Amino acid sequence: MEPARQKWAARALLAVAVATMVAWLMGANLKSRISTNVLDLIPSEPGLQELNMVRSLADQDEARIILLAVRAGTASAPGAPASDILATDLARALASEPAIAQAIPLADHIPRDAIARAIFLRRLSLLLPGWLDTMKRQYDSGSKSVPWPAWLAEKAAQDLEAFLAKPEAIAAQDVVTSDPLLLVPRLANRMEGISGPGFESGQGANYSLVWALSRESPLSEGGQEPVFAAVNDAMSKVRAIDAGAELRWTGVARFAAASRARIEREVRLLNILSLCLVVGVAAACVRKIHRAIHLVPVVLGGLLGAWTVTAAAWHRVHVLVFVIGSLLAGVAVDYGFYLFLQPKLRPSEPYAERARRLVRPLLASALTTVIGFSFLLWSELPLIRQLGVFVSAGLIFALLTALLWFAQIDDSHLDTRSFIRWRPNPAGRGVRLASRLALFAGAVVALAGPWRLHWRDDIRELEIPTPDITANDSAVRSLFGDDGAKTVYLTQGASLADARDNLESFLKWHAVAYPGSKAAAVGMALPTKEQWARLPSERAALADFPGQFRLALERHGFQVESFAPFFRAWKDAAASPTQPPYEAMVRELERSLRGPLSSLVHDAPGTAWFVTIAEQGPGPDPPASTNTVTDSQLQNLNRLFLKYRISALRLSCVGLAFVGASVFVLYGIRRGARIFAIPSGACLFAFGLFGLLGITLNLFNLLGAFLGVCLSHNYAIFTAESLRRHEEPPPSIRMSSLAAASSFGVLSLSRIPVVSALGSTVAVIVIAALAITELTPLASGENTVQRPGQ
Amino acid sequence: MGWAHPLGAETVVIGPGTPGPKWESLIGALARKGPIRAAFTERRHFAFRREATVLTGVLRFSPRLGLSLQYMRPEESILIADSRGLEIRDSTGRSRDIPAGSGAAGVIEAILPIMQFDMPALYRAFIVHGEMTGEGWSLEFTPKDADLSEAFGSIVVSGSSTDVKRLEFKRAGSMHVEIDVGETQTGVSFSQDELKKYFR
Repeated sequence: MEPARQKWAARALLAVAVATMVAWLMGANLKSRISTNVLDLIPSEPGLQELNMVRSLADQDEARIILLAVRAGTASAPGAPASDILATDLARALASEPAIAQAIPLADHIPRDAIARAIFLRRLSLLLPGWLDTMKRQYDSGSKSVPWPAWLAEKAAQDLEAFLAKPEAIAAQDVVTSDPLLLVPRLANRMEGISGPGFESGQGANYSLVWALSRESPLSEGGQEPVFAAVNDAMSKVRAIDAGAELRWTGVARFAAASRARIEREVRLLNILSLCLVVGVAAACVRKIHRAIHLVPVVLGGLLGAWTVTAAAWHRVHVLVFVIGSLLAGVAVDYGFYLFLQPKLRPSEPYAERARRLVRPLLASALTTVIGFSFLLWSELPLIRQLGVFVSAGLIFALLTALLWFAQIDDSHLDTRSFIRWRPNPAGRGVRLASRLALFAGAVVALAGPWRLHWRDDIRELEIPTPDITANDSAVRSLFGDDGAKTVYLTQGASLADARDNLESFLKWHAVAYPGSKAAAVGMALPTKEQWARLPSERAALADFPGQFRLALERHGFQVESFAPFFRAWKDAAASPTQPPYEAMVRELERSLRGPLSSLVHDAPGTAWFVTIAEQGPGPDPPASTNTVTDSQLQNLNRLFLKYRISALRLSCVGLAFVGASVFVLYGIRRGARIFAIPSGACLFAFGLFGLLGITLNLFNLLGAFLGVCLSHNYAIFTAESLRRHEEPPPSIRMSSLAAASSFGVLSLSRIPVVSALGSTVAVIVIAALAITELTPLASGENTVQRPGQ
Repeated sequence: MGWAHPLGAETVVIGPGTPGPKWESLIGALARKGPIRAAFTERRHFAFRREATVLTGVLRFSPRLGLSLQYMRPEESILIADSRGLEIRDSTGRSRDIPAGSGAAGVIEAILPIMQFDMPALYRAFIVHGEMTGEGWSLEFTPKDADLSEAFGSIVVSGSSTDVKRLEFKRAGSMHVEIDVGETQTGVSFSQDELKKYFR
């Protein structure tokens, strides 16, 4: 019997701790603090353009776009409206929904015509500065034998004459007399292909197309269910007109909602499965199965502590932390195993005495692991920092719970079944040879395999793939003419003026990197800030231009009087006493942008960007100096994750160094080296195995390796402690590694690729460490352990 | 019903069931001509220019694949009009698609059913006037849609016997385009190279 005071003190401490944590969690409104937004997994660092763009893309128009395709039913009644009329009705119904900010049938040319008109009316502000810049460069590279205004007039007349022989001249004839410098036709030519054919015609296959914008970000709840309801309501109104009308639609909200639902299911499933497997391993290995229930409070205590500390430390915690956190079940149970299964030295040995014997290895294993994981707090990635705290807090609380729980029960020892204690006789020659062969094979894998490793990270692997929604997305986008053959670039700046300057650098790079490939951006309709600032002086230097241009037009066979609208506009612009600031001119253009084109430019305080669509497929990425990235770089963030992978590797190495140093301090150089060799060897074996199997690893394999090493060095410590006392290693080591392997094995089944990567890495390392622990004494033929009956 | 043409020939409105045997026979013969290849000269008259801009090249027509205009002078380019819309290929090989039904496809897109002499389709979209003098004939297509009519004017196809000799695009008060069709090879079979280069 344990002393009553000890029992009641332990119970009181446990009850107070549990009550405090549960009360805090209940009052913390956990639902609002748990995020499923993938962007909460990555940091917000001012210098990282890719991340800042991803964040602004996610929050701004680009992510809020909804593409809808509607067609009349095949069995519609005679006289039923055609698809284009249904598209107009659908857009009207959507626009009346509070969750939808804009909805435009793409066959409606009014928004596009309005933009074209706005640019045309401001052509001498928006387009003239860039044209003058280009012309001046050509003039400067020539002989300069003719004065600049005369040269420019002759060149403009030559270009106009040549233009009339081009196919597009027929369509542009009405604007030529107002725009003989061809500012607008040139822009139209450069902007070709900025949107797919569906965007131009409003038709794709037999569908009529609608472009819409949700009011809220699709990554927020307001941008999901209310949008789905709005689409359903609008479609109900369309079906009231044509019952057979068909709708296909896509938007980021569909991916986000599906991902959220799947991750939530995964959290529940993985946690329950993990707990069941751990309890199952325990139940299979102990004599009185029902008493294995005493291990459950240890796991629950660890998880409760981990949830509380993590939620207290961060206002927003990503759900992935809790998914991966389910692994704690397999780790936290270790302390229960070690305390509960440790044989008594004598039948009357009290709990306190037994616990005192174990406190050194328990503290050594727990604290070294906690120290190791604490280094993850220095990671740039919020996910890794949160995981570091989750695991560290969970382990400390599991240890405390185990110490207190077993202090308040009468019988704190549990016998294990004989099979879990069974060991082959190390004196047997076959056993020794087989052990040596197995260790040799493992060493070959550990030394040869890691050289074949490949690393790649993709932010999309943080989420569960949704092939059905992806297929629907591709199908709808193809109706809009997006065949994925083009490359999309995003050019960023602190302001639109900055972004426009960067766009100029990017376009110069693109012209050299991809000669012959056309690139189109809304930013082309704007001058750079410098060009705009130079315009008044350029105009002053061209005071003779109108007269020279009249003569040149005459020489090239034009009816000069037809061009009166141009000369009038030129005179008005030159006579204007002041030029508006650049920002005002940009805002004026922005106001005219509606519909799909408005999503190709973004202007917010502190960040602005332009989208460029280029004809060519994938190829070399633009240099960092252009402040431009491709959308595929944004989609996978591999380049960025490479930085985090290196950072995580550095932190893991520092953490491991501290773990190793702690072991050397506690156990001396020789024994410390033997202890540390086991997890290190197991880790090398795991990487070797993955390398030989051709598996591409990511940041989470690295994290898994770190966790695996921390876990498996516990087994080495407990084995070393037993050997020091000439005792057989306790069965808790095998049970602990089996429980850890099971719980991480469950994670490897996850449909979230990175969770699966982490789970499989830890499971392999844990099993390999157990194998090394078991095989080393057998291979060496040592018989230092006092076996029963010897 | 007919009306007096300024040149004296009688102009008739041609519609479903009204062309009469002479027109029926001519239109049937034109529609059955099959693939053709012909040299052409295009003259573009702009209201703001004293002289026409002259372009020359080779016209290819396939009832199945559509119409292809290979411009050779003053600048090389290829214009293809087919059921998918328009494609313009410049001398560097870069192409630009203008989908069928978009405003930009405009008048060029309308040539296709005219070159096919697909009269049922033409009757739906155009008011058709015909004029015949001996071997010579001309058909004028005026869009029924008032906006289209204002934007593109009318298209006149004229010829002799069963050969198309001229295409004209007339827009009141502004541009006027004439395409004179020169030596014509009928019933040609295009090589694989030609099909790849001039059609899609």
